[in-house]
Amino acid sequence: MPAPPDAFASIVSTPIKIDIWSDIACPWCYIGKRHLEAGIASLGEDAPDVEIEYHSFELAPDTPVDFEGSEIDFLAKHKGLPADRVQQMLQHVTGVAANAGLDYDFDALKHTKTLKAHELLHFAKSQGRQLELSEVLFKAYFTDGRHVGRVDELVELAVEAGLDGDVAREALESGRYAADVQADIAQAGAYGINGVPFFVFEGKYGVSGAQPAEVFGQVLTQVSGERDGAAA
Amino acid sequence: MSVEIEADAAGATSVETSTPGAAAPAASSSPFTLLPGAAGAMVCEGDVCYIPGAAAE
Repeated sequence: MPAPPDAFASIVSTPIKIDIWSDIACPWCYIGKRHLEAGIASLGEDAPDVEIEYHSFELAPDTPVDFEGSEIDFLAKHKGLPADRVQQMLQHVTGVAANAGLDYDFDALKHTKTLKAHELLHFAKSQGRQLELSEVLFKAYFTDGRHVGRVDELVELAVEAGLDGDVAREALESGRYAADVQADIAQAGAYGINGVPFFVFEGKYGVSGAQPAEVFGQVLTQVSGERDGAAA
Repeated sequence: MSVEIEADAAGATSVETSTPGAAAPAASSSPFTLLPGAAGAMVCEGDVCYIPGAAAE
């Protein structure tokens, strides 16, 4: 039996939900973010309204907050990866990032633990500023060489994202959002998400990796079309 | 931050190469309908980034 007209109106007027599991220290997550944005923009006037929510995923929980050395030092010496291969890969990801309009600077990058940054993202979500903060944090980490593991610097970044610095500091120092971070990570595990970025559309379709913009556009068109079909 | 390296399902790594075919999702036991997307879409796991489903060399 068809749903009543009010239900149809609700379906088509509600933004398409996009849940994204990512880590600030994930170079392909920032690129994937840009590709998603480009995919949405490519739909022009046909682009559906979307609601994006970021979820925490800590790629390397054993990373120290303070690491003295470059990114190559960390991956080559701390992790034992071949230095020449690390150099080659960083050059490659820098090139792909440039194509996405991002200016990665691995020489300036401050390798750090991202747990507190994730707590701040949850605080920002509670304040309706999560998207703004995610952009500020990615840019701070990959292009500006900022330290996203220390509370003082995170408070500065919170202010840049339009958040109240004092309240942000209290949220970080109290660890009020630590459980939410762990809940996201546990949810990823329950969903079988092993790598990031991972995108979930409408709680229905999963898309793994930094897909090209056209893939995101196609998925949104598909989801939007299914909604239209349900409302017809 | 992670480095990009191809890995097979068992975690063996190799130098990055292009791989034909659709990318496999970096999720198992997922409640979602996993869309294949484009080949070569990178994901990061731990300290490595890789193309899911790519065979190690």
